[in-house]
Amino acid sequence: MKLIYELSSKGRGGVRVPEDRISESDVIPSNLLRAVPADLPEVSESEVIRHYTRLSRLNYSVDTHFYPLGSCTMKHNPRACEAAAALPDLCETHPLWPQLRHGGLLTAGFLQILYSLERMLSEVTGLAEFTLQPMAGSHGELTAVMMMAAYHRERGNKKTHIIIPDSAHGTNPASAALGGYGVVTIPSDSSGDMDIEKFKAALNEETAGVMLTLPSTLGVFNPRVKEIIQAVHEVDGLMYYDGANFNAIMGRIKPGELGFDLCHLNLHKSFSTPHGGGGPGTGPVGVCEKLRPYLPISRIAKTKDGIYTLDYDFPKSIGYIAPFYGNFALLVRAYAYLLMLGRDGLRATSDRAVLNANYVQEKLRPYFSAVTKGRCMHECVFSGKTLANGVHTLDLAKALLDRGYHAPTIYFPLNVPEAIMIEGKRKRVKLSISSVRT
Amino acid sequence: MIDIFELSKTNPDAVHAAPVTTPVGRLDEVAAAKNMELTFIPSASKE
Repeated sequence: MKLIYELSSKGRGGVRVPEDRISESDVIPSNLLRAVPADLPEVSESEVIRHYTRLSRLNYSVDTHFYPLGSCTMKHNPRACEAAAALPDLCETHPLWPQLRHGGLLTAGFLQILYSLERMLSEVTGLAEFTLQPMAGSHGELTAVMMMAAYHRERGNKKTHIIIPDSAHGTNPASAALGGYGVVTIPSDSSGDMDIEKFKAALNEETAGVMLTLPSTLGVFNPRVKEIIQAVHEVDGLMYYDGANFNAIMGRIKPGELGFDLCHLNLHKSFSTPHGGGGPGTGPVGVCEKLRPYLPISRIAKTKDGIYTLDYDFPKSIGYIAPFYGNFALLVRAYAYLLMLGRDGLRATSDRAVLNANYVQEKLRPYFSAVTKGRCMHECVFSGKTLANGVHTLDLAKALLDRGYHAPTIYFPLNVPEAIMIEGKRKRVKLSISSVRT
Repeated sequence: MIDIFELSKTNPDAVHAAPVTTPVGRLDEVAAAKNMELTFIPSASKE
């Protein structure tokens, strides 16, 4: 297929721009004016349409193909949520409006959405309060580490490091380091869990906290999580729940009730937003009661009269971590998604995700080496080392493309040789899942 | 995946050659990384 520049023909064009009565040189300084015309392709309107329509048809997309990527995943994104986010009254509201005098009254619905979403996320995670501002999961991690540091500073704790299992996303150690802490990595044991004995040996009075992804990137739910949390609290450390895999436990387990002190959720993964192209993301962070004073500002408050307003009066806050109120359009999608599903729907979504992953795992277990001996959670991980004659996981991924399927996540997690990570998703019909295994 | 697993035993060359039905075949990723073409230069066009 040709590039659009190769279709260019001098003098051809799609749109005729009328002569302006004001010359550019009247309003733009001459040193800023372009001396040579921009090198743009000269093509007709129908050529542009045909070119980009053809290009779009070369794509693999969640609308046309099964998409079994694990971990950072393209989940089901209902079109109704897209419609909600595109409502003109929402997407055309200027972000400065709520900050103007009486602006809260002009944007009451806008603030109510944010306020209500914060409360919903608190409910599903069992935590006291949320900030919606972080613009990505990793941004949420950093926000959480900054709050951990603020907590320890105020208590006069001498904390030097954060403990992270080796199966964690790479952003965990990066966030800890950026927050000023050293990182102690704990290897996984044979069942894919963090090695509990090595963890206990590394834990001490200088441990600021532990960042735990639950279920882990291997799709394993650590059965000793409460034991880990208790041990961390005994040294006044903080437990951080990385919500990258919250998709597996929604409506079943609340991290706050397990004893986690902080948690981020990837709304772009678990709560409806097209994801997989590198953004945009949104990683709200929830905290337990004792960490509420450190949440970023501004915060959305509701007065006794039922009026929504922005509140900045939190002297212990870590301050601003993002402009305005987070990625608002993504927050609207999450709000709509939660309202659509309700409590039972949310639970059923996670149940299906786990069921689908186990279906795939058991069907493929005779052929590929499964990391998990028993049941997995929302994703299953195999090693492609059982492939014969020099065929590698990469070759398997390419051959799947010929059969009309996007490849699963490969060569991740890093601690599994020739890794193949499949997430069965939560809405796919059995036909799609069955066909990818046959 | 099971089909490809079986094919790796009987005809590994076919798996190594994949993909053959997609608009772009197996890319030489090493060559692409070493000889990066990041801008369009009319004189370099194959047309």
